Amino acid sequence: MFKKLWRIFVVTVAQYLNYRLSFVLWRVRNVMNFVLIYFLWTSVYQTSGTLFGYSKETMVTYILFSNLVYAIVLSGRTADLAGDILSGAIINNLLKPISIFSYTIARELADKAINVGFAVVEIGLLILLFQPKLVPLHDSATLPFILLALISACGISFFISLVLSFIAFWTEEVWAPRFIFFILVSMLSGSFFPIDILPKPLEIALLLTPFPYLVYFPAKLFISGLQPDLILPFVISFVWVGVLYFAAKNIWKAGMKNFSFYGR
Amino acid sequence: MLFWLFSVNSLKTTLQHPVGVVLFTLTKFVRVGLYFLFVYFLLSRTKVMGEYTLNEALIFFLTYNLIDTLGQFLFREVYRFRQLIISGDFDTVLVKPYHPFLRVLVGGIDLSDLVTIIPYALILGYFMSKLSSSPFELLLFFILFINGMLLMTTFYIIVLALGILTTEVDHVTMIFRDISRMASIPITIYTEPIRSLLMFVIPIGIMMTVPVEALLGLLSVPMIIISFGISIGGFIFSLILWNKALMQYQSAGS
Repeated sequence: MFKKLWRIFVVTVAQYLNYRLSFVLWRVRNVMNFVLIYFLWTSVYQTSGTLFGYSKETMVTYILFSNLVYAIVLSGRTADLAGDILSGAIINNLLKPISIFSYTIARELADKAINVGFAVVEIGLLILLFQPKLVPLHDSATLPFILLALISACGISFFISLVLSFIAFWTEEVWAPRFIFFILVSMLSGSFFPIDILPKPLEIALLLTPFPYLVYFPAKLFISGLQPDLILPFVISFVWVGVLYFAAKNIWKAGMKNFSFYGR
Repeated sequence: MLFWLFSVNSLKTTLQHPVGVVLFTLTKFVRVGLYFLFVYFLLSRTKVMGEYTLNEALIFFLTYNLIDTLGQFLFREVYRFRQLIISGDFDTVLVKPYHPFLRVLVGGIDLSDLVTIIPYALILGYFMSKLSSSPFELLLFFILFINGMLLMTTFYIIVLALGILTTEVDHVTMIFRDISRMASIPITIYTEPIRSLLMFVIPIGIMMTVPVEALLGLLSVPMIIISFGISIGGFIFSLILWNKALMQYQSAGS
């Protein structure tokens, strides 16, 4: 079983490396995105030492770490499932002697491995290039909690992505909902700015949604440690994992009952 | 006439998926709305804008949005160019008795962008009406706005040429769009060398910041001349690159 999953992992990595220019440009785009946010914030800090309770060093550290978190959490191949359902190609995976979810998770892990590997190298090079002043990890005791927050974030991202793909069981309009999700993530997950710079009521409202737990929460733990006011958000993040797991499971069951394909 | 026919066909194709059009359009409003709130929040709570008032800063933001959306609206077909190249269907475009740009550059206008352009233009007009710009400054704004659109056209022609040479379109376009987002606030805010890079090397500053500076009466005569020079030079370069790329086209897919 593990050997099969390993082969899927290897094949997924090989697929990426097949289109090398596309791969390089994809990485360039990731680096550019970080550089753009970095320059926006360093420009904002030209006139002031501390803004919204963040020093320049803390903000730059947040932006760097959130970039890494983004690479870990939001990379994945679950979106491919929608195309497979629409084209009927999913039947090939359903007939294989391996669960479609094991197959999807193996591909997801391959994607994450590539993203994280390159993100670490790129962030390292950017640190060497710009030599920004950074703040260290708040305390080493926070590390297990950061890991837990990352697991929860990956769960939320994975199950939302699955649900968005399963829409294809009922309609061809699968890209518009994913586009909505992408826009909400890009603005509300905390990859652009820490959520707690917003007015308090807005911050509280956002913390009730799944988005801040994708990027903001693990990054915030890195720079602040596990403060008492972060315990409730921790619980909420795992509640979201549970809710989204059951949603994905039930939608999959309903979708499989509804699904029919022909021509294969 | 042909542009009109292509546009009508594109709209008909888009309307085959009305739910998708509505969702995409709404999401584009949400995206701009959220980004607007972020920029507004950032500018109103910090001194980052220096000598600009909040009203002026919003004009920079809205001008960026209008130019960006106009580019999306007019040149949406570029995003589909890769498929034409790798399938070999580009042959069928080249043999037609009209310039291929009519089909591959402006042959697929986007309805969801058309819907968003009108409110953006109206809101921009509202904030511009609050300024006391002279008729000359207004005229210069419109001329430099068109100059910005020429630069946008240049960029998309370069993408098409690169598409032929490398079959890579999507990432190049998205990298450009990411960079151009930096012009949602005035380029002059950024520190050197980023400022000069964004003004003269990847001239999104000339595309999006310079027209507003003209409107505010902040633009020098040499900068106006440089802006036109870069746009016209860039456009000529893009046409040369396109012709060179066409010579390399091998119709690999057919």
